[in-house]
Amino acid sequence: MAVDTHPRIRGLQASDDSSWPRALSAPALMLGSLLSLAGIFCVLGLLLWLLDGDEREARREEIIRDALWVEHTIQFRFGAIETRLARLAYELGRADSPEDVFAVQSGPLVQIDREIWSLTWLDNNQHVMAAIPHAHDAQTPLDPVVRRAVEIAQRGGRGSFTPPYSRPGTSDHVSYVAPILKGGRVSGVLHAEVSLGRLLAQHIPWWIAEKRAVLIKRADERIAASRSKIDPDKAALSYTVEIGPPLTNLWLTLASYQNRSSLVQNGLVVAMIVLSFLAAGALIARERQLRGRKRAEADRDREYAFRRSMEESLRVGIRARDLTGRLLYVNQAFCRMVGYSEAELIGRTPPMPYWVPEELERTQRLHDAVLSGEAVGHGLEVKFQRPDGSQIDVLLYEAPLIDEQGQQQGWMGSVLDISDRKRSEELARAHADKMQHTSRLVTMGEMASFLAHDLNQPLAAIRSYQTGLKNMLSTGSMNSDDVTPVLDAIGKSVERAGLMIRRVHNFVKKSEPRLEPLDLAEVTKETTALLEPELKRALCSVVIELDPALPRVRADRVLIQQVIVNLIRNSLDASKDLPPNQRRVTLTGSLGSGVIEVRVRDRGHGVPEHLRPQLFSPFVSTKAGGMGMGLTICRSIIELHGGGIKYEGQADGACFIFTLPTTG
Amino acid sequence: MAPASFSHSRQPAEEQMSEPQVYVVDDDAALRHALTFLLSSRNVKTSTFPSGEAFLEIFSPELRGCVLTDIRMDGISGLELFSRLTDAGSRLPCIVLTGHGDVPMAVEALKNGVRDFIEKPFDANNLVDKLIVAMADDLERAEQDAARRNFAERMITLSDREQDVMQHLIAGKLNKVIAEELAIAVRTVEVHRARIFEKMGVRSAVELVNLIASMGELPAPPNRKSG
Repeated sequence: MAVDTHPRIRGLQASDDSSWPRALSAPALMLGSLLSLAGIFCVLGLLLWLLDGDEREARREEIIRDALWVEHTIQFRFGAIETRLARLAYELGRADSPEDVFAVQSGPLVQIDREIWSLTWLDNNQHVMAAIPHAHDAQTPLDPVVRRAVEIAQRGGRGSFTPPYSRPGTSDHVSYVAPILKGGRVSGVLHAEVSLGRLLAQHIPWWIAEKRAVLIKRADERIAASRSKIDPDKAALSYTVEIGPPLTNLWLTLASYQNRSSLVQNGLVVAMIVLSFLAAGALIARERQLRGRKRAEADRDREYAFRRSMEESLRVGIRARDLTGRLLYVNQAFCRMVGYSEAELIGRTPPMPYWVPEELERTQRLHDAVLSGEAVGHGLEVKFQRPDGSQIDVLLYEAPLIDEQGQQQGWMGSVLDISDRKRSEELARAHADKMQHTSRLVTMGEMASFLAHDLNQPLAAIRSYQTGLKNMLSTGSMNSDDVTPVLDAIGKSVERAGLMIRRVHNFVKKSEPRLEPLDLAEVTKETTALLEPELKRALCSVVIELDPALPRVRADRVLIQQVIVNLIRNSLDASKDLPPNQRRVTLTGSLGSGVIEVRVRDRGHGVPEHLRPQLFSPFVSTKAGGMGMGLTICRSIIELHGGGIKYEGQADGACFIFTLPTTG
Repeated sequence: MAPASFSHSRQPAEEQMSEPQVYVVDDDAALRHALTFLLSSRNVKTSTFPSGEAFLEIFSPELRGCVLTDIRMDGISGLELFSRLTDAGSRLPCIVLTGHGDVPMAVEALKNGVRDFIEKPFDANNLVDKLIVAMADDLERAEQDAARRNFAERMITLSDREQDVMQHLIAGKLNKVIAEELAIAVRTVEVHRARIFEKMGVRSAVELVNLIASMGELPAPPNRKSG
């Protein structure tokens, strides 16, 4: 309850809780704090002032008391001197031998009342009869005020005090003159010279002398005697009282020294002010700091929100895991990918819900590899499964999650959905397979077309012979000598037609790849023969420079033929714009380390630079209307045989190089 | 190309070449031989050439007969051969042998003036018939050419005045009328007329008109007034 209603606590809460009303916002709070601080300062000041007033009063009373006390003491001392002197005068007047009396009694008197500077016995002629402590101490000549007192004593027969008078070398003195009466007549006087300085020295107690300056002043403010440690003018407090009869014209002043308590008090005040300023300064500084922190917090919040929104709008999934594999963080993209909400995923440990059940083991292995740090840097292809059972292919990149102290806290993974890419890759592969088949069919179709065309030659010849023979029969102009060579010629044409058909049949007849030792020179020649009609049509020649002595390669005849057909056809297409006498394709073969390298070289337009990197990819073609499958098929065939194929640009034209491993 | 097992001489004697015959141009030796045999069975003389270039070598505009060429050959094609022959002044009819799928090319050939195309495999005697007709056409055309050349040569010999008179003669005008129109004596017209007949190798005005009509050089509207 008390805490709840306490304004400061509330204020503190307000500063930390932004949901508090704006009435308690930082500036208002700040103002309140400063005002209350000022209030405290005022109250303390008032208190100090009041305390100071009380103390002043008390000190005033004290100094008055002391002054009265001192005045009383002085009066008392003078009273005592008066009494003793009167008594001694009496004794002297009565004694037979006053000299003895004086000698006996004056000594103790001077010893007891040490403020008595000198005691002198004077006769009526004012001659010194005796003096104590020393004769030479007797005052001669007498100060006028003393003489006046002596006259008063001689004439009036009564003692009196003189006003203070100066004595060189010491404080002012006051004298008491008492008449010595002998037989009703004044026979002389006793003159006691009292040193005010000694009086003060003898009779001011230490506890007053300690804290007060004690001064005796004349009526004209001249200091008659003083007992003071410092200049009393600077005294904070003083009190003056008149020293009453029998003394006249004397004033007693007591002054307080600057006492320590006020110093302490002043120190306190100063300290309070300083502390108040410090407190105010601290408050302001604190306020500034708070404001700065708030700004920093706002910045941080904004930054955080920005980062968050960036992460959320990423299409790349991001997840963080600790060193044990527990999920610490996932972004929205990741959630979308795997179809689980953030709440479902955070804190999960393997096996994860999105792992494909059939591939649990593999995924776990990959997971372990990642956690052991083996799989850093290169992407891992993994399948994830959504709750609805659909699967996605993802590419994972893992990197260690390092905190600001440089300690690894876990693993950070970025997840790319590559389903589409995979699908299109698979599609492309399927397509390539199909294209390979189609290409074969197309080749076959073209072969058939050329076969049909070429078969026309022997058929036309046979037909001509046959018609000629018939003509000769009908005219009867035939003899057996003419017929035999014609029949031979017919036989040759038939044979030729048969050879053509067989050759195409060999190319077309095809099941699984059948690897057998092949003589590349022979295969090349045969392939060129197959293409002959086409070459003729394109007015292009093929030069074969393959040594039949080259080792054999292990390959499928028909597939290799297909590669050669493809490459030569490309060369034909590329050479179209050349003058016919430059349309030449050269095939050369050479023996490398364990492989035979075949180069198919033409002088056509070559392959543009930008197409070279993906030359062997599907659907890349330099031909208008080309499907871009030819080289893809070539590559898959050559790779099937464990060889390689590449393109080498030439200054004029193109060169395709393929290698096939030799049988050895 | 492998040489034919047997073949007629590639370079026939000059007198043989000048006879009307079929010039067979084909890079396929077997087919050349077969065609030679076929044509000989119909008593058609042939010369064979393994390429267009070989035929162009011996070609001269005096050759008579017709050309039978394959459309596709090593070296220049049949069409190229035809256009080069034309450039060289040949009027020989040309029949082109085409294979399967060459029809668009053949149509193009026809537009360029090739006489005919025969698709392989062909009806052999039909081919021979066409060749014989083509040869006959060539002979006839050659005769026409000769006549035309003759006519042209005669026309050149006519003087300007004779040509004027001839125009009037063709128009069927009487000598008297011609004399009046040309402001010359009738006698002079008669002299011109006699010289025109002599120079043009005709015996009458009617023959002259027919000759000019057959050459197609001058319009010869028949003038009934001349009777």
